[in-house]
Amino acid sequence: MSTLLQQAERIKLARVLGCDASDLGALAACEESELRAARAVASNALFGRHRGLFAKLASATRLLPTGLSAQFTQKFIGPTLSGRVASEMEPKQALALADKLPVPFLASVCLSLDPGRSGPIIRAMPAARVVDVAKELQRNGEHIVMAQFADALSDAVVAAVMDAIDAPSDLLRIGFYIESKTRLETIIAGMDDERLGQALVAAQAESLWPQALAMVDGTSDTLRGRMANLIAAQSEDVIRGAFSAAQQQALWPMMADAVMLMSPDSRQRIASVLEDADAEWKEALQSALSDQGASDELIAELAA
Amino acid sequence: MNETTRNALMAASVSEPDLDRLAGLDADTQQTLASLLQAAQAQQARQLQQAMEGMLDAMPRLLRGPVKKLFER
Repeated sequence: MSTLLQQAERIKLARVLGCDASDLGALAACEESELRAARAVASNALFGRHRGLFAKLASATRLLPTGLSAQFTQKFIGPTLSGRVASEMEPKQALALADKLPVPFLASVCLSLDPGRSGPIIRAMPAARVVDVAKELQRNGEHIVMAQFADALSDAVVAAVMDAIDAPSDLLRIGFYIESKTRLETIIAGMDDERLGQALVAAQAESLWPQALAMVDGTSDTLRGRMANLIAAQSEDVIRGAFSAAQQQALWPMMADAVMLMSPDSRQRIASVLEDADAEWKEALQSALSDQGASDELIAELAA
Repeated sequence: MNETTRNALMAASVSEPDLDRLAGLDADTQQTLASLLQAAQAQQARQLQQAMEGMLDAMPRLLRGPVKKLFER
């Protein structure tokens, strides 16, 4: 997981610096938190260096009729600078302009828009427009960017975006990269068991168990317990897939956490699947449970 | 942080408080960030210059004067 999150941070830092993640040199070896700090510093420096010019471009576009301003924005400013110029616009001006810009252009602007600096604009954007842009980002596989915006949008708009995402696997890909666990908790709480169950089936089908399990790591016992019970409610194939992924990718601590939070019925189901499964899985799970301080009774339930 | 790296980062508009945030990185990594930042700023400066020139050239005649004044301010 930390490898996936590190790679996400490398991509985010490279985006800010306008280079490819493979050009990061010594920075590529940094820990996730160090990469995040470097990104914040780089963003401040790049924005601070030319803030006056961004403000001038924002003022110049304000002098033009909105339609012409949209044409100039696409032709001369381009998506990367637009993301930075937007930070110097009043939400009203930015919204009027965004209304005239095509969705693919707006989606490209999102790659350089700083959700922290442009929060008022992002929050003022009509839900329908956000959904259109989110769908474009989804089509382009920009899950990391989508996750970055989840913190800046209102609950209602995030819910509308999540409803519009038709591929359950993309819910996992986006959810995994959302930094705020509080935000993630709200998002998942708004999803019904059927949708979450589909996401778990997708985790099995598309080898996304690390994302599925790590996504809820650090959230409340209630949410993790709900996900744990949903894993146990899946077909035997899906449950076996989760164990297989745990074995291959060192996910046993998270599996053990899930088992500890399951209802007795769910645990029984897990025990029955383990009965015919690889003996190594059972041993690894029991060992992880023991490491996490599970009671002897609970560990014995799975040994039966 | 050594003096050369510190100067390179400050030349790339990294503020004092932000320099502290990079204190945990080794010298090589700090220097890499400074170089990448300088390259990104040079690229950003070029893009800004092109954007302003392109806008001025294509600007309706009536607005060209006020916008030119705005850019030169």
